[in-house]
Amino acid sequence: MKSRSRRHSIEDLVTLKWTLGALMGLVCITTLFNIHGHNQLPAVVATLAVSIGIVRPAWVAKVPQWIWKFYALAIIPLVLVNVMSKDTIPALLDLNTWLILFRSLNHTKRREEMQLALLCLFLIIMTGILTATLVFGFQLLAFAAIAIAYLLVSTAIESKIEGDYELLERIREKNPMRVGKAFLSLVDTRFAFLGISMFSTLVFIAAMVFIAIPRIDVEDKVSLFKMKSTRSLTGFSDRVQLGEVTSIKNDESIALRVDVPENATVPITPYWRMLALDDYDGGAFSLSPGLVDLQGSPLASPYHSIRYWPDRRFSQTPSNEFRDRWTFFLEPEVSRYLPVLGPFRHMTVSKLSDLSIGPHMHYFALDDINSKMISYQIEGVDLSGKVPDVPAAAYAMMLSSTRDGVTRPNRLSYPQTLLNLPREEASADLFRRMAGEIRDGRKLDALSFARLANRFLWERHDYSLQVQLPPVAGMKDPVARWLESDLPGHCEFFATSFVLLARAAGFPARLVVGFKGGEWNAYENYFMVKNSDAHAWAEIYDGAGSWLRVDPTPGSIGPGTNQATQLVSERVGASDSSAFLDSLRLLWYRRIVNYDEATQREAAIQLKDFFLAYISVAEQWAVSMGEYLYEFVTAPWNIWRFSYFSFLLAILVVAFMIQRNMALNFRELILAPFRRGDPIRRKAGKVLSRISERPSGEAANVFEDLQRLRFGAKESWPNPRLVFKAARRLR
Amino acid sequence: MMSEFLPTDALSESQKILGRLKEAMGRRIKGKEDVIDQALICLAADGHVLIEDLPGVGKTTLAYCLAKAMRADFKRIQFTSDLLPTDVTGVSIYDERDRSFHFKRGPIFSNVVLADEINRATPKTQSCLLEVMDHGKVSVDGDTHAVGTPFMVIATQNPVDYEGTFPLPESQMDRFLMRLQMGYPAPESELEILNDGQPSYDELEVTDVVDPEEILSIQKTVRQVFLEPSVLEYVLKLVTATRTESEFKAGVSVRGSIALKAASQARALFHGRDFVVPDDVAAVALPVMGHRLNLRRPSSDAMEERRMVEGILSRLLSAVVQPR
Repeated sequence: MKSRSRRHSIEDLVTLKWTLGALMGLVCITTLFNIHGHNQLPAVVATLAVSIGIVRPAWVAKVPQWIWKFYALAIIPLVLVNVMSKDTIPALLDLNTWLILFRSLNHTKRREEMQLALLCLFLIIMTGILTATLVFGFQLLAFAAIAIAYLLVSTAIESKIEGDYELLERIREKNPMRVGKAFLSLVDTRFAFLGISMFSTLVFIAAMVFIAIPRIDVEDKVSLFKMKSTRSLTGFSDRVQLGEVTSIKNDESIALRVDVPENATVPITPYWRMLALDDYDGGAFSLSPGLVDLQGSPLASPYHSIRYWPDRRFSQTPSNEFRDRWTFFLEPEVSRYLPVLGPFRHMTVSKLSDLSIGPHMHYFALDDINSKMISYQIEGVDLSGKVPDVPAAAYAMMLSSTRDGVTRPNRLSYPQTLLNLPREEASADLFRRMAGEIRDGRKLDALSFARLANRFLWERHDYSLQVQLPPVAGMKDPVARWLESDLPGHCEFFATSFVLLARAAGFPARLVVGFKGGEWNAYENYFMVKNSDAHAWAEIYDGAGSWLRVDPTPGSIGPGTNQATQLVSERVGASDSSAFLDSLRLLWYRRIVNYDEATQREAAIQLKDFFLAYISVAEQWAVSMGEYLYEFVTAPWNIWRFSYFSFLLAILVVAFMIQRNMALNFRELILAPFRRGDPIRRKAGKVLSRISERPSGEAANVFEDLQRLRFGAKESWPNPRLVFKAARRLR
Repeated sequence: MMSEFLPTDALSESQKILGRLKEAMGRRIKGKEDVIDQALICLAADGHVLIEDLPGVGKTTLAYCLAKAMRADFKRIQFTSDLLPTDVTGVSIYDERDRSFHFKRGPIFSNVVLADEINRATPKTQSCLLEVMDHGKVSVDGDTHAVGTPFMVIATQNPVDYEGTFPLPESQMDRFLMRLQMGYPAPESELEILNDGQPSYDELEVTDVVDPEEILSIQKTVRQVFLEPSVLEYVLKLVTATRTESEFKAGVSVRGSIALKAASQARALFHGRDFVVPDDVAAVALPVMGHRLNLRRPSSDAMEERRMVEGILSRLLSAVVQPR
């Protein structure tokens, strides 16, 4: 059937289709920007090229054919080099990008349209598996909308040219490509209605499927799709040079979001502990080699945690117990080490085999730094600031098993490293002298020493992010040089000084890195921890199986004092627009990424309950109506009731007559507002257009009646319903 | 839109009258039904006809038949180069008895006027037809005289001979509702004509079948034929298309669009309908608009130019989408 919409010329449709195709390619290419650690050059080039093509289609038309041919040939070596030098996945992504760039600017024939759609679909599926960000959700939505419009316009062109492809070719050659005009012509009720209804149907079906199908962990099933991350923050690794944590503070992006339980009590400035470090040398704290070796050992897997922490559980599903659950959403490429608040009862991660634990330093690390957002849940959190020590009995067996055959001369091994001082004698002496000053000949326990040492540091030094250390003769160690001066310093100076002072006084101590504080998001009640919240503090062994948190940085609470806490409902926090946007992201994480089967089941049950409740309400209403009707009918009749009923009947009869004479079915009635002109005239025109020749005999009358319905005066119309009925019989 | 409702009996009556006319004319003019139809449509639409073709194909016969069948007052004016306007309209003559001028009516005061070989007269004489063809009135010496009702001018001209002719100006052309072509008859029709012999025009056996009053009632009925808005829009689009077409010197005038509408209505009535379908418009578009259009680059050959104009018109007809 020939398309009846006269407002869309084929030129406009062709322009529109071309632009939509390019837009579709552009949206797909921009999804690549979500992938961290992927070479963005092809995506940037392709985005620029396609954007220019959309804004200035005439320029694309001017590109001579040989350039495209050359480009098509050039892709082959480019991809070969890619495959050689990279993994399969990045190479595949790059190839796809180059192909989409080519195709989205050159799609005129039908097979080319199909190619473009398939390429885009492939890329969007790939990026969807590799990333699952909120932005990607919007991109996917945009892609679906554009793809529907693209196919719609493509179909409209097909029906319009009726197989006359030569005509189409001619139109393409001299098409002026007025994009704005073409888009305006799309603002047509029929097109818009069709497109919007298709799009909303798609979204609705997708939502239904999302609720209904069982969740699968894509990463689990398709091990092919794993991107190696290249970027990471050195401040949160197993070796921290002085100043590295502070350098993270320049990054204002959000590193961690923590969803807290409702009605919970949360610390006002929580410490998000990532890793503790024991070995010290020349201004750098690191994990001692024995502990590093342990990371790769099977003993570090969470399955063996019962050995050290009989009261802790690690699993892939939440526990059955009813306790507070803190859900952590860690952004990609922050650290392998997962921030936690301290000791806990239960930890839920999506994949246990990816996790390794360090019981001595109380850390929980991923095998690889995460390239996409990961989430984990912690239950039964202990906010006291104490971290239990691993029983001494466990040391020997573990450490001896990892140290076999490796000789490390001149180095102490764990746990001796916990008392390590600078190897430089002058510096070590300085720390011993200062520690002696603090002790002042008294015999102190760890807590008292920590308080005194904190006061000692605070009295001598102020806080500042900028530090210029003066050269001191005979001393290279930066911490010692700082300690000897009265210069201001940042948290790392305070923390390392404290650790070394404590060690000099004979207390085992270690440096802890992580985040401190974080902004409270009042929209969705969660912590937004930024990279600029990076912090370093210390832990000192109390001699009774616990490590006490000591934050020697000025302005922190003293060691051993309980942290100030607040109810979630009482917290006030950021409520500006950026906080709102961020809360959307958390909603996305909560609902889409971290959507486990329990919540899914809950949603399905809620949906079912809602429908059941609705049905029961409807049922009650029907029953009560029935009873009312029964009573009404069985009540004695009088003249009023009789006239009331006859009036009702008359109205019904009239309504029925009107309906019959209007000869419109419900479809016509519903669609009428979206169509131009009289619905009966339209319908008659539609029926007429199907009758190609004027029929003879009985049918001629029907034809004439149809013509009268379409073109005749309304006063002279025959009964339309009968005419349409007769016309149906005709066919 | 017609607010008046067209009664069914008026419709069938009109159709019957036109049928009778057609049948009577068909008896004399063999194998030219389409031309007869169009001439009758013109009559029904209260328009004038220009019949343009080679000599001897039956132009004058058609005009005679039409006039005779109507039982109407019929005059024939043979246009020549020395014909004067007063020869057509009439002249005031001094009457010595009452010493005043009396208007002596010319041949134009009639119901059907055959203006034969109209292009042979001088433009001055041609122009004397302008007023009467528009308003049915003649103004002579400051007095206005109404001509008969119904009033129809049937003009003929030979487009091929240029010798001693004065081509009709556009303003004159515009006053004809349609331009018709006779064309050669089909061989079998011509055989019939040959068999019949050739009676003189006055011997034409066309019986009076219609009264002038009946024609007037038909013309009134035609004006009541219904046009649906989309069909009216179609008329407008066709006219607009000629105005934007670059190959034409000028598009169809407003009088032309009114003519197209009236002719469509007449055709609908002729086919027994009280409403116009797009096909009616398309069918009369060529004869109604063809003579109103001139090419920007005129051709030396009149027949050639006419063919080209009609070619462009057919293209426009297929380009403008009919309402469905």
